[in-house]
Amino acid sequence: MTAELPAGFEDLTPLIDWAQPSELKRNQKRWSATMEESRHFYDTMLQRGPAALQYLNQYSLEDLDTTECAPQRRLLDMCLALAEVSATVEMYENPQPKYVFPIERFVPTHDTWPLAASGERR
Amino acid sequence: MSTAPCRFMDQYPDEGRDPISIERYTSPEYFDRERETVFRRKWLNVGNILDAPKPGDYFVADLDILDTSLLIIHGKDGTYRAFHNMCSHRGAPVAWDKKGSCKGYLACRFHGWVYDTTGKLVQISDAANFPTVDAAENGLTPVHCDVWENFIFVNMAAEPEETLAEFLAPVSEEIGKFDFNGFTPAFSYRIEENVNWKTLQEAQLEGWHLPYLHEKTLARAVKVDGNQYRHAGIELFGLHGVLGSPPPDSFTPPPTAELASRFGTGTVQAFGSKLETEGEGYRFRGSFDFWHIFPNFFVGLLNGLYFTFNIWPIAADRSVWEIKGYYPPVRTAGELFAREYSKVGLRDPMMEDCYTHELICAQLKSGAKDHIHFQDEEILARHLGNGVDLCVRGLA
Repeated sequence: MTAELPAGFEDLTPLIDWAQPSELKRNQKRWSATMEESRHFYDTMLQRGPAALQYLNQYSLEDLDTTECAPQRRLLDMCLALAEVSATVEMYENPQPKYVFPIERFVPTHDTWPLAASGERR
Repeated sequence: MSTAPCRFMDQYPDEGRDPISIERYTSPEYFDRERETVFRRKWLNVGNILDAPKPGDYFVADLDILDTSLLIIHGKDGTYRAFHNMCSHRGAPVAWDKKGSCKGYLACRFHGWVYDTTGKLVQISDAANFPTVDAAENGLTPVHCDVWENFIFVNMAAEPEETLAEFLAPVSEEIGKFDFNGFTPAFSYRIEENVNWKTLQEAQLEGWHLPYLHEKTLARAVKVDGNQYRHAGIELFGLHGVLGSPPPDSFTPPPTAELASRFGTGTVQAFGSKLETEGEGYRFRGSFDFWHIFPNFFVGLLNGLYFTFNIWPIAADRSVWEIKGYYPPVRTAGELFAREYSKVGLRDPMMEDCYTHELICAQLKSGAKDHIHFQDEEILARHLGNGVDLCVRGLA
């Protein structure tokens, strides 16, 4: 059985729920988290993000999309989740801001790299 | 406040200063006039050459307002052409996918009639059983199509009143100074909204709402002069126009932006960077410039990226908003992260805009009021409605 995350990043395993494979799912995770959970994930990933991205940069994006690289892919998805949750912490200070259009109606029709937006919509 | 009141109204007296009739947004009759006098006459952007980069590539663009769907093909000869996506046999679509590539020929999936990339009917299946069909007269029905910079336009008139070059002449030299090379389609969204197509555009035609509606998101990335947002510039060019957003006096990137900037490019650098005022290249009016190409196309220019909006009317109270972002190619996980951060930072404010669209549209129908108002900083929104109204009245 493969590890959930690459060697050296096991400390992030308690936050593995944030490793969601599509923009929509990362956004849903962002909206369903509490402010405390969001802040904890944000603080942790800001700390670990530089090392994670440096580590991931040795892989090609094509490789990261293969099953052999599932642990690396999860780490990448957690980095991309930081991009989502940064809005909660740095902008809204609220995981469920009012007066925002539902993302389900913001349909991605294309993304250069499927890793960023792939996955089923519903 | 360092800007004089009504500076744009004074500069552009033809735009007027009076309240605007709500009928422009709600009346189905007015909408019918818009269809005929704007959308069936003016050049319309339907895509980017990057949507069909290689000869044989094609894509489909839906023009619901004109009850058709277009097939745009990058011909084997390098020319982009547009056709109604309709087989001459019984009217089935020739291209069934939104996007694709062919080796020089497209076959209708219904009964196999074959067309080349110039639209010529080159094979009639079971030809002997169609004694009255002349292939030479049954090619795909062409639509006027031309390319400027990276952008593919069509004109749905039987004979366009002006060429694309003439249509874009007021702005083409200025926008053309921006180097559109080196970007790839990074992401796109399609949003169906219950809103009039002009209401949808109006939030993108003025930055004055940024400190209000986008208090939590974009407000930090603009300068607020006194208590109010003042555009770095607004210029009108015929039916087209541009606004520049004023860069903040100082910009402290949040921590995630700092992290992103270590690994790739993004919006935040664009907002925080100093303006180039020298040299031959594109001269930014603000930290980002929004160009509005009449009637429904936007090109947003930032330092290191650009994006486009196409706003497609469906009915007086229904529209589609297509958002496309173009970034330098993403090659690494770090660049992908930076791009994703930039994307979220653009997407969330646009979702705030969307939240207002349908509520405004619903309320405009109430009949409670006859007019709405545009202030001086909203002159580009007024300019869109004025341009449409000139068309509707046969004056443009």
